[in-house]
Amino acid sequence: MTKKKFQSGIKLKYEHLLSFDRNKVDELIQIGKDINEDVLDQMLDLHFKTSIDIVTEMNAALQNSDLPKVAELAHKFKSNTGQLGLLKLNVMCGDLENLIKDTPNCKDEICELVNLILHENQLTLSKLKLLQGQAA
Amino acid sequence: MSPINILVIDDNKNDLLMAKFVIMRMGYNPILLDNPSKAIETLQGSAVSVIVLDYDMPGMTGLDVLKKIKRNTTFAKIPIVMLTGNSSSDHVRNTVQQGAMDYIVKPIDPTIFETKINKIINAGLQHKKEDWIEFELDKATKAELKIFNYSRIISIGEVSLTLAANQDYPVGFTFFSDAQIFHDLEIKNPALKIEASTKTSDGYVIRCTMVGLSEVELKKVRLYQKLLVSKKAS
Repeated sequence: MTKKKFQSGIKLKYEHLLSFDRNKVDELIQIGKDINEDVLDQMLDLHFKTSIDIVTEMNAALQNSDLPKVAELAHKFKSNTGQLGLLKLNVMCGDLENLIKDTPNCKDEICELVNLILHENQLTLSKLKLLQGQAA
Repeated sequence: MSPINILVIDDNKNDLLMAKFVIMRMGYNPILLDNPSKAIETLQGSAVSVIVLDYDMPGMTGLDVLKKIKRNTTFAKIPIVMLTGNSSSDHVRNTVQQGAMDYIVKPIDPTIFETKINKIINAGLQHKKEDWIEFELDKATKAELKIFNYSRIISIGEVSLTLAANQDYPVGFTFFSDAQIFHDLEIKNPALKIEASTKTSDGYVIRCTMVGLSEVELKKVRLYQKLLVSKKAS
């Protein structure tokens, strides 16, 4: 598969996915009501902090060609994004983890997917900040 | 009643926070640990009912921690539920073989988490209850003590009775009674637990609680008590 074909394929693969699952957000709001704590707010605050750390580390690991570290961070980010219902990022991270495990020689594809994750993370963070502002 | 503590061990702070909220909603007390090497130290500091343990941790993995806990005789019986981002059969087989009771796939689904943890806690409470009954029965059987034939009942209440005996017995001691009164009431060998023992000039006055009587048996005792009171009054 050529690099161009992979790029178009990868975009198509994630296009249909939602950035975040509203049901998951509602679930967190409900838990907050049940225990009288601002659960969504606390989860989002922690996500803002950890996601910046993870993507920064992921980028650095990629620059150093440290693929096991990239896979480890993708695994961690997959868990974090799943917890908040960030569907697109969650699927991308799972794919990145598997891609490194199954075909570590496909460096171009790995780079492309990491860049896509970085880009999607920026978009998602903006949406989540907006959501947090509305919820407050 | 002491709170039920649930220890969650996970290097991922986001997962720890989510687990904390779900455990709080269940009415239990979360103890959170992001450093698996301090697992035993943490267990020594608090009575933990269930451990939720992440499988994938850098350095000391969840399996390493699981093995370490299972090797420790003090904590080996605490049920462990593994948290895993991977539900492959190898993962599950590994955790179960090493003694984990169950596993939960990440991201944490509150409903699944609550159901699995509650099931384990309820099973634990049932075990405790069964253990207690077994312990009391064992104690009573080993004692082979049926003192009522050699003692005199002074009074009988709804769930307690007082008797006079020529011997002192330790408070908390449980025994089966074959006193005539229970034959008359058709209650077979009820278990009695000694609540208090007081020395008198001609022996001891012992106050006992009747343990494990059925509702029908309790009705019989209550009826007997009423008859006794009315007989005394007349």
